[in-house]
Amino acid sequence: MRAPDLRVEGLRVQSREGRVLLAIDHLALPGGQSLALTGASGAGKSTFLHVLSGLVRPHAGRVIWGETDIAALSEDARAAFRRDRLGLVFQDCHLFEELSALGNAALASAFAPRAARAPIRAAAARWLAGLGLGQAGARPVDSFSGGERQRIAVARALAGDPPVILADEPTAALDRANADALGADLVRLAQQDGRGLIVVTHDAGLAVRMTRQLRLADGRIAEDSHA
Amino acid sequence: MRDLWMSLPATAQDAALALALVAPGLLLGLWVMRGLRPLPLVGAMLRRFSWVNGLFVLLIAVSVGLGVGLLAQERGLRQGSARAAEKFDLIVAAPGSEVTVMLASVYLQPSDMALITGAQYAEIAATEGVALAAPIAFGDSHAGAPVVGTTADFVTHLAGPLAAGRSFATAQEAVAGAFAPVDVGDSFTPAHGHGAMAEGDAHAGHAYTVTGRMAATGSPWDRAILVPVEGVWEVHGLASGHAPGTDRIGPPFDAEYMPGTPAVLVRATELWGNYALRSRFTRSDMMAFFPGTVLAQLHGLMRDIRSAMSLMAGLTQVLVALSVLIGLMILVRLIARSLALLRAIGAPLRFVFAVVWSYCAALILSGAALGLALGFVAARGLSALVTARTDVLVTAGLGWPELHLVAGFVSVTLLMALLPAWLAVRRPLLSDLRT
Amino acid sequence: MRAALSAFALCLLAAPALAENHDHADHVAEAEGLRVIHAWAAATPRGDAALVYMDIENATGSEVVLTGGKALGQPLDLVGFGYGATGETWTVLPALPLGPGQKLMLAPKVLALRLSDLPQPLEDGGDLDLEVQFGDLHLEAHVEIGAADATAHSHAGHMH
Repeated sequence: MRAPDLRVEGLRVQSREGRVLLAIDHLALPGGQSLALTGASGAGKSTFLHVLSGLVRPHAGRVIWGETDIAALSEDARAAFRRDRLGLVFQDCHLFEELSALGNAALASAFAPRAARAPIRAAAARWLAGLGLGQAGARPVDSFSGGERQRIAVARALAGDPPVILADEPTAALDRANADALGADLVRLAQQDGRGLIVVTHDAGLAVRMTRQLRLADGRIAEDSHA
Repeated sequence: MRDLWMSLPATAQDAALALALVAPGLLLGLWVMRGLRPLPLVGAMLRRFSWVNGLFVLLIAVSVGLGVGLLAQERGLRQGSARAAEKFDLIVAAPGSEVTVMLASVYLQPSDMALITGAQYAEIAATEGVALAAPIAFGDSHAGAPVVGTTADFVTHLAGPLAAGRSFATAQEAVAGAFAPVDVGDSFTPAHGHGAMAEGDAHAGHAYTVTGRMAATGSPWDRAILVPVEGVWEVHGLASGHAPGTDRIGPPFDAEYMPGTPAVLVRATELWGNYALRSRFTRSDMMAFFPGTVLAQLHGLMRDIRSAMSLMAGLTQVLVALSVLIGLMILVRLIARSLALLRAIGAPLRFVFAVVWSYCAALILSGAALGLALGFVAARGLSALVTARTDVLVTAGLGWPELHLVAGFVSVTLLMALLPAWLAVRRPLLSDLRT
Repeated sequence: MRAALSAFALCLLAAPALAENHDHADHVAEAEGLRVIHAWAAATPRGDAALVYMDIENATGSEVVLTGGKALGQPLDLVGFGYGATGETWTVLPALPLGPGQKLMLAPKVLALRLSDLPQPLEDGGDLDLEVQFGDLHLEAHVEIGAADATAHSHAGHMH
């Protein structure tokens, strides 16, 4: 797998009132590297991740994944880009309560092109097994613990075999043990296939697992450190 | 094109119309869902809020059921009243209101009427081409059931072979209608008149013995007790229709000793004969009419009311559907977070649109299907009620008009469901994702 | 006997002012004591079945048999009305004998002459030439076209 390089240039995101939420002049992340976005609440970490995933369109600047400037794409093209190239994990795992673990992990098969549906379902089952939930695929998700639910969400992010994983506070709702286990899993799964991994986190334990840490303050890069 | 349409059998026309009505909704569905498979997700969402969804389905079902039930009932009543009149080929009576005579003689709702005299009856009975000329003499009752004087031939004409016993052979015998409140072997004294005003002892000293029971006809005659017309005349202290000393009943009657009858049922030997006889007996001293014609005219007068009713039934349903859809737009807020997640992980807007539309469509289609079932049950229940009250056998079932109504309703509401779907994809993704 | 008798009178579109003084020949066709009075039909679109009504009086002294008619180059059937659970029906009748001195009333939802497939529409206020057939005896009558929802001839009740 060849994870795309990320290049961010002249990025500006403003609030509706015109306040600058994000101002990143330049950032380059070689494909396959892992990056932790840290900083105080309101520093712009999540906004940055939303811009990187195309959920938010910047007011100015470019966000280039490989050759693609996601900021220049239409809404549907950005959605398609997320579906094919990015795996998203959220703080709250956002599961469909009435679906099974496998149904949630393979959610993208509902809207993927016909040819991709079976591979997504197969990969979802494989990832669930890889995350220790292989026997529980048919169970409804409301019967799982918090840590297990977040693993299902990780399996969902990986089911489309994306070269990059973007995770927004994936361990924030978990206890220490579960947080550590999930963090280790994320890093392991990313590294074994050469995926890029960008994690927004308050969790210093998770942040240090990344090869690079970027601390944001007031929407700007305050500190850029490599492990 | 028109020729082709006219050449189709009625069922094919009805089926084609139903298909044409439901087609816009179905085609819309195919267009919205093309290449997508949102249904497993929709199923999960429907289960997630099953109580709310169940309530919406019930609301649609009740509205559809009421419309369908009313339409079916109206048609059932029309058909039932027409069926009850089928055996009454031609009625001859003294000049007056055809409707009054029809209500009295076909539906046994008696009123005071002038009589056909013995001489007139004799003329009618002797006319060439008359196969049956049965007097129908009403006015008495027993235990709420009309007691009607007529002939044994009329009993056979009306209900075919008896279900039990034998027909009357003397002026003191009677045949009970299928559901009349007397049994074979019972004796009773008729009351003069009907209902609360009936004089129970006016005919004291006279009694009929029930010798047989008719098969059911689906008409008010099923509640009646039929007696020889001679019995009615005798009970009222009149001549018996035959010369004194004659000890028989039934036609021919002796015009000189025949007291008269409010109505005569006439049947011609040939089908066309009834039409000739109608003209023949339409004159200044008597009138002749087909109850079917009078009924068709009455039903024709109600056609506008029927159209208005259909329109109102349709409009009511659309209004209910509209309020349901407004509810759905609110309901979309409940599933907004799930929809936002779908968009976040890469679902195209068209897919989210299809999810919301098919979510609404599932509620609409379930409601419509349940409504048809409810309408069927409602029509059956109302029919039983009307049959019990009027003795006109009403068998209301679902027919093409109801299916057309539901097909049209489904199409219109599926079209309306585009609105919540459109609003859903315009919701702010990020704030929905964070809720 | 193949005598096609004609008592058809030329008809002018009567102006409203003249309506009171209408010539009764507009409404009556007569031949040898056989009279067709107040023939009329309701306005009917092309392709539909048109029903023609009238009163017939037989003063010929012998029985005549109404068999049908002809108009717009097409045959008309004698049809009788029926009403039952299946709804309204019109049944084709073979013929209807009319004894001497008798009348026959062809009226809505009773009896009519039916033109099954109208080649041209019948329009309110228009007219139609009709040949009423009594076996070999044919009578030319003038059919007045009333409104689509008319239930009787415009001069119904007038004595002629």
